[in-house]
Amino acid sequence: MKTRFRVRITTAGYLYIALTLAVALAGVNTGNNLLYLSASALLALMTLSGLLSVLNLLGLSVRIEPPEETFAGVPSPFGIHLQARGWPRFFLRVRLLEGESRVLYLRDRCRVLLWVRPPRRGEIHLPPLEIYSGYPLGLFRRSRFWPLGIRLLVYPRPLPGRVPLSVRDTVPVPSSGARFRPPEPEEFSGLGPYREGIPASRIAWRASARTGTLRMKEFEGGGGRTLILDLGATPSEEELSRATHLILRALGEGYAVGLRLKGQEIPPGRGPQKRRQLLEALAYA
Amino acid sequence: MPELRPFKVAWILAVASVVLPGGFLYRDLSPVALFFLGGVLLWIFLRERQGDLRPLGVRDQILLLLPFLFWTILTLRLETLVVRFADLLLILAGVKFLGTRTPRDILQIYLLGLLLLVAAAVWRFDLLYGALFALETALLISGLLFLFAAQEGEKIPLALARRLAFLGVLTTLGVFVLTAFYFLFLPRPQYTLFSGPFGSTVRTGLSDRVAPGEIAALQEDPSVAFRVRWLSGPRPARPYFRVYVYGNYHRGVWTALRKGRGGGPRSLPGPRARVEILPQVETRALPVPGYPLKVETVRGPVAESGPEGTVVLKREVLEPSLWRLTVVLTPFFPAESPPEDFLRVPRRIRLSLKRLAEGLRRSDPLETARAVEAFLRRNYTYTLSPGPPSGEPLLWFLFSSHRGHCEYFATAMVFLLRTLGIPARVVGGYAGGQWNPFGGYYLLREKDAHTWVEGWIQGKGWMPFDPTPASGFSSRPSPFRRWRLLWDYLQFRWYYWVVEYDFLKQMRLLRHLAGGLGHRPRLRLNPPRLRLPALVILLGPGLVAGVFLLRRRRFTPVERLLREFSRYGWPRRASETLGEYLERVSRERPDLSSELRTFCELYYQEVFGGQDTRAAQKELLSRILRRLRSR
Amino acid sequence: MAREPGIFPAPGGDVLNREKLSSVRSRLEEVIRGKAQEVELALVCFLARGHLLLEDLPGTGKTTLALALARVTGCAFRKVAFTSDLLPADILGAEVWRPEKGVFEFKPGPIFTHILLADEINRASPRTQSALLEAMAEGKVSVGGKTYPLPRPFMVIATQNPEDLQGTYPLPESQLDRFLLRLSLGYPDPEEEKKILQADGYYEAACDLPAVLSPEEARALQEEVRRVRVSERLLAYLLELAAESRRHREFRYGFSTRGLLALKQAAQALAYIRGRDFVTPEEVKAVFVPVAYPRLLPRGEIPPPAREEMLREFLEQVPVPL
Repeated sequence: MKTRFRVRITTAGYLYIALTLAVALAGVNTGNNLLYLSASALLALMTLSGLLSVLNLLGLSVRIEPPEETFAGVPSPFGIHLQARGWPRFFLRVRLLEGESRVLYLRDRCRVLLWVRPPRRGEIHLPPLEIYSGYPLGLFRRSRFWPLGIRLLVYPRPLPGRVPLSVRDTVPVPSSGARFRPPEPEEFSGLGPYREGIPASRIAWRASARTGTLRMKEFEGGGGRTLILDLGATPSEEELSRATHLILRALGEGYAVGLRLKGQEIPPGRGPQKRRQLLEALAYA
Repeated sequence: MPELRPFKVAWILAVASVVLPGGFLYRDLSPVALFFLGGVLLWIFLRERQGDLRPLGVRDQILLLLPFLFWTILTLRLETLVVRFADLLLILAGVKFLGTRTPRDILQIYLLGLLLLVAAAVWRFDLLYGALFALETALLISGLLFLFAAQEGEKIPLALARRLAFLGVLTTLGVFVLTAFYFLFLPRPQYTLFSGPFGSTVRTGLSDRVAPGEIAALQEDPSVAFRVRWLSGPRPARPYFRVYVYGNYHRGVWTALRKGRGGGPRSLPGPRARVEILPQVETRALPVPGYPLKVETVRGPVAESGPEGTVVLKREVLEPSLWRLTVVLTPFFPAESPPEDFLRVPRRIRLSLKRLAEGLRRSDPLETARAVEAFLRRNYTYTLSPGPPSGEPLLWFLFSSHRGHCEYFATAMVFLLRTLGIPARVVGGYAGGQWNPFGGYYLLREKDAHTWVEGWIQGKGWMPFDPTPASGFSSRPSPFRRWRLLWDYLQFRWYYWVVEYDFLKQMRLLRHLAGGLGHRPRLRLNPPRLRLPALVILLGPGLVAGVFLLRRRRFTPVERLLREFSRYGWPRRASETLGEYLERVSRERPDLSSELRTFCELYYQEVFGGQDTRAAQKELLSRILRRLRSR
Repeated sequence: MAREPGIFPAPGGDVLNREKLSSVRSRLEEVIRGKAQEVELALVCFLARGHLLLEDLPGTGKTTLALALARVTGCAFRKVAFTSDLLPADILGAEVWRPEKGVFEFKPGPIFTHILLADEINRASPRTQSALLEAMAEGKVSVGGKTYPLPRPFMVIATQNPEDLQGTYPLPESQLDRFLLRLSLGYPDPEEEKKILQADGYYEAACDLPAVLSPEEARALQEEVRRVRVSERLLAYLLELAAESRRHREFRYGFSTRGLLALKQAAQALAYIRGRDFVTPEEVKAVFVPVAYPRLLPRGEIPPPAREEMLREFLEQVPVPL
């Protein structure tokens, strides 16, 4: 990966530069060699600090592990694997969009979690990952950027609330007024990754604790209810958001969900495959 | 995992970075500043042990500083400008210690330490300054490192702290190497822009007047007066370095000859030697280990041949200087002014000496002079503290006390010879000195200052005699002698390569290096090119200030509030919520409590509740700040 | 906190509900004297749909608290004294043979109530304990292959005597996580104790408390609590707390994800009680020690007050976002 560097001078850094110049000026003025010496030392420290800060960011390799699903405006965990070759690194900060995390000390490798909130739905191009540090003295802040080259498909932000009746079409219609009644759990089909909008009771705690990431029980069922959403030809952003929430919730509770959108029709179904198909349709809408 | 607060380390290093230069310079700094700093530190220490240390607000700090500021302004003189400034820095540091301890404060204290170091460079040149420089650099680098760590994490594992400390040492070493490089090779202008009279506080031990009676007791002063580096030529085992020739005696005081330029011969028989003279004292004349043939001023005030084979300076030396002399090591000095000028004896002395002098007359002048020298050496005792004389000092020495220092001996011999009709004069300078094999130079200390006699031997010239028994160089063997010599050698190197390093040496070094690389150097001094760095240095601060002003960040109301309050001595701890923090502040200022509570709520509405309350925050903040300042 | 109209947006949620909530609170404080903070936390637990672990010496008003809470929220209340011979069926209920009908009929146990006081829970056998705790986690009871949902709201207040540990079965660590928070009432102030003596105890007073809410209203309040806003910045703080707790050497385990969820819910409930419709770090810090107590277990044997101190100290190490 081709990376690039950038340096920012902090307030303390500007002060330091001013001081160096002042001492050098005093040295030239008086011809006092000890002032020259002080100025040289200040300059030397500046050089060395620059050198150390570059060394601190060199020899780092980065691997990014995007979450399986991301929703606009919802923070999603991006795992960043850092590996440092050779010497130890100090006081790194990893940043991607507004997600930021600190690494005090890196000897070999570590993984940090960044909570990133994608700005909008649809396909987005992630900005480069920034690792920066004011190390060693906080006078200059050096950043290194890793272009990720990841195109991320962001689903619409799930927004709770009732979908306006005109765009909702459920078959068969659930009893009026009542929200979704949780059906009896159907056949347990395995464990899957945790997804937004699933009630906490479906989380497989034991498996989650074992693997370190949230897992949930997946069910697949034959019979049961079906929900087909008709969003018409030109759904608004808000409608898309509410539809996303509704789909997530309905799938989580065992409904077979279908979607009609801009003349395109997705037949009702369940399971992770269907879920992705539905969400992608909403993301690209 | 044991943990450590890097901020605490940074704070301790901040204290050390002020105390260290303060301690190094204690002799020059004012006791007021030193006592103030010591008192402050003691107070902080006691208070901290009791656990009730309250930081001083900005206003109190300024109030505390004001009397010292007035005192500084009132006692200000041009010569002590820099030293007073250093005093003020020390006091300012003491006041800062009493104040809050935010990263910014600690940074300011580091700056004070650095400024102290820089200020000291103006009046201290010795190697101890070098040691101070090294230590202070190490302290400041480690301090900055830990301060940065403190901003990254309130607590860090001990293992990481250890690594940081190690890194501090490593960085310091790296800085030393780079400093040396920059110091030697960065372009420097040939002339200073303006040189001010920054005085040195060393006093001279040798003076252009000799008054034996005025000195009741002499103290052996081991401080260095000159170094005379032997570049070429044979080296006498026990050299005498002539500085002044005294001709006139009036009311017990010899005054040095001033008039007359070196009209002596340009060539004399005898071995030649080339020496370099590096002064350490304020002086108007140079020590010459023979008769000068050629005088070359490398740096400093212009030196020229003076009367009777001395070398005098056009003005007193103040700054690091260097002269190169070519001398003839001859036992007899040529006469410049007629020898008959050195025959005057005050009448009263002549009458009293007559009988004694006649008893010492021998067949020829040389024999007579030897007899007088031997007589004085044998019958009189050398002492550093002869006590105050009664009556004419010379007669008191010769006829009643029989004890005296070299000035008495030299005066006595000169008048005895003159009474007998032999021209004679007192010569002042340094006798012996200490040969330093490490650096190849003689070390002339104040205690080596000596006076002796030159008598005119017809047909040969002026010949030196030393009537003082065990004169001058009574070198006590010391177990540390070798170490002392090594230290002085280092000191000498320090002077030679650091303090007196200059444009010419830089050129020489460059040429030498270029020659070593096999190129013929084509270095031509191009004044416009050399002025460029000076120009950059002049314009740089302005540019930086401009960029700085342009890039100033706008602060949110809450940031402004926190900044203002931490100036008043209430910094927020990182683990405190805004509500907890403002409640703590409210306990100190109950009159603000309801506004502060409202402010907190507004802020929370914005940050955690997603409401836009920025405008209300701003308005409330200005109300709070007005109220804060009004009391 | 003083409120200036016009500056603050009106708090979210039903104004009537908030009125009732403050009434609930003041009623509770009438009978649990001088323990405003503990009452607040008990209410937090109720609103966040959690279960409460009370660690106290006998006679410090645990029963009064449970009873009073049940009375003012209009909830049904049962008390079960746990002993070593108590069986799971004694709590959950069992299927009994009805000869007249010729069928097995489920006879619900005392657990089928809104608020259950499980007195001295550590005296029961692990089997009984785990039966109760499972029901607590799942909100339903399975007997004989059939599932019976528990009424809502459902809250268990379990008590333990931290001193007298003879013949007890301490709750396993995995079970402790099922309690939202842990409280200790402790002795009242001398001033308050005098008042209690004068009033001849407050147990009767608690029995006579009027119902301010109905179970349905209580459920609605619980729903509203879930809608209290948790901002990104706060989420980051919670995650930082979790990460810090996992790094901390003195704790056996850090926060589990479920523990973190509990912290969030408790903070939401407290924010709601305080009249906010969003959570700030103040609330997180206020509920942290009781929530963390059953979750961040120390490596060594440390007495309860020192454990609380340790948790507070830990909290002081984590930077709070501004």
